[in-house]
Amino acid sequence: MAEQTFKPTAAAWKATIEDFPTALAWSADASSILVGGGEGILWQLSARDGAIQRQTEAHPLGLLAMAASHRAGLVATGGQEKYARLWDLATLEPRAVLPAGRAASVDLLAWSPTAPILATACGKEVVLWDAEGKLKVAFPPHEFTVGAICWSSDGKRIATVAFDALRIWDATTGELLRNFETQTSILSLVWKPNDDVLVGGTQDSTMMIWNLKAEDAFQAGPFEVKLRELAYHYTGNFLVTGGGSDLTVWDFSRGDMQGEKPQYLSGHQDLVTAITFQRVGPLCASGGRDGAVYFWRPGSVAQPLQYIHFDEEIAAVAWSPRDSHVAVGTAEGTIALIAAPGRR
Amino acid sequence: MSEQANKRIPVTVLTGFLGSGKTTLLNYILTANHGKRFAVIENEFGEVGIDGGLVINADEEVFETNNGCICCTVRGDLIRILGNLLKRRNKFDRILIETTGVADPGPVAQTFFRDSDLEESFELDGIVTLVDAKYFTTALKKEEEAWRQVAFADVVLLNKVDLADEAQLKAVEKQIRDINPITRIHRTVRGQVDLDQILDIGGFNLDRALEMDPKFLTGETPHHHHIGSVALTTDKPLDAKKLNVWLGLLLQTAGKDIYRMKGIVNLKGMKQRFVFQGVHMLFDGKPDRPWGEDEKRHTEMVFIGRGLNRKELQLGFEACIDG
Repeated sequence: MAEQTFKPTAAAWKATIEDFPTALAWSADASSILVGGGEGILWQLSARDGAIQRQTEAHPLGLLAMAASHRAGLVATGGQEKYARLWDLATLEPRAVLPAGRAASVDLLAWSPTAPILATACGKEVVLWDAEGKLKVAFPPHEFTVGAICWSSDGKRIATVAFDALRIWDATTGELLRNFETQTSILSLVWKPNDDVLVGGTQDSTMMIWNLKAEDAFQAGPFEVKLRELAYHYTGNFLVTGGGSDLTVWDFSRGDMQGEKPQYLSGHQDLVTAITFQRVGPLCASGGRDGAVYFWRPGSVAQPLQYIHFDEEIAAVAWSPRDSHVAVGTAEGTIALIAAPGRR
Repeated sequence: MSEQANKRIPVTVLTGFLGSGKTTLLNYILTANHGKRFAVIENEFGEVGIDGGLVINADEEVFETNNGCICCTVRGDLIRILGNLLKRRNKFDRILIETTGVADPGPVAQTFFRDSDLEESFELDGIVTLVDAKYFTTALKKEEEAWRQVAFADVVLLNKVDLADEAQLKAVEKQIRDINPITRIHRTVRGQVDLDQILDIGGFNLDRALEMDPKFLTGETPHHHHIGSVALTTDKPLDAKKLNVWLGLLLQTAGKDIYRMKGIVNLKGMKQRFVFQGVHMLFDGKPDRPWGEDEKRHTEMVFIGRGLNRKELQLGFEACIDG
């Protein structure tokens, strides 16, 4: 391995919640950090010093998913007990209980990027809800359990994947717009910011790329392990994937990445567990089983810009609303705040 | 990472036909005073709720990995649920999976070997099958899954023995042995069994691959289209290359019909025993302890499956004998 010339950084603060942070989210004004705990507790920590401001028992059998909407002023949580719940983002007061499905847990939640509309996936059922918790659209049940959901950037369509197919739905009418058959289970899904390409990570440790304009699909890989970590640069020019201990940067600047050689970003000593890009910026943060969080500038610099090391596997990483900091959660319940390179 | 996080979590699979007493056994396990902490994955149609414990409902979903290979079928629901449970692993020490009465144990077992995440974090300890002492014979006549559940079992709990007489029990035990000569059978009433008999049994552990009673290795020839076993033994050493070719070909061509296999092999020129076990096309083998100086070197293999051709297996096996 090449000698590391980049500098370590220190956390602004660290706190402990004694739970597994399934997901992290920020309040709109960046004053607090929300943590969805695997045991079912929803935590609110001060972004200034990590002090626990509020906590509430969100799901009696465990919390599996969490997503915040600054537009709606709500945070949604999904639980093992088949319900999704809406909470006030500032006060954690309960706002609505959503009966998201009949026979499974609520594993997936996604807010529309353009409206206060929440998508839930519970087993084979995908449903859209408004901010009051009223059902807006119930899509026809899938034949297999839904593995991932993703909104288009204009909020007009939603993509779902199950073992048998990638499907694209009209989010207003519930009409099935496109259907791409698959022969593998898809575990993760991301829509290129200009909405012309969808990328999914598969159970078979490969990557599926659906080019919606060309109406074709192709497969890339294999990766070291199943591919769950997918993140697009806000311009859509780069896709960064995990699926191993290196990050792989795929160049989409000429449309799709066919024929392009990927760039590999080495630093993690074990599998990558989280990748997230700034909302509007060039930096990407990655977390790994090795307990490290690295900051990268994919597409230009192959070396990491900065890193910090924790004693435990990194479970979740989330950029602040203004892209100045990341919140980090480790598998043993440490929550920390780290300034982005060049920030204090 | 903590020591606990590095240790694989043992998983026990409970199978058994509807009414055989799986839920009663689960309730007994969860409420008995044994100091163990369980997470239970219960089938969707569990007739009775489980008191206490971490209980999660599953929605059985089978799919093929590896681009549709039929022998690579796994349970997608288990992959998801067990993945989520890893986030709460400080809450339990072991996992119990209750399958539906008609569930195929094959994909359940294969999931732990075909899914890289689960293989790393979980260890399939054994398959425990409950059999209703009074109605098992009837179930065998009507339902193929009753055969398969016994064929896959590391342990059979012959339950409700208080409702059958000794002659019935002996007859059922013979039926079980005819299907699966290497399973261990325990008679129970209301599923009450010493947990040491069903936990930490190492059914899929090579170190214990052939802890079976040789007297059962008679290898009844299975009826056509039926499920049964073939046992192969010899005192002559086998040729490693020939054995490798034969087993490879056998699993390629007949792997989907071979439910379980286990063996201790005497390979020419090898000081240690070679042990193997497998599920369908999944095969795991390694050199084991050295043969003892006074120990009789011999080979024992058992194949359990559907429509096994004893004659062909015997011929293939004999062709592997050195010389």
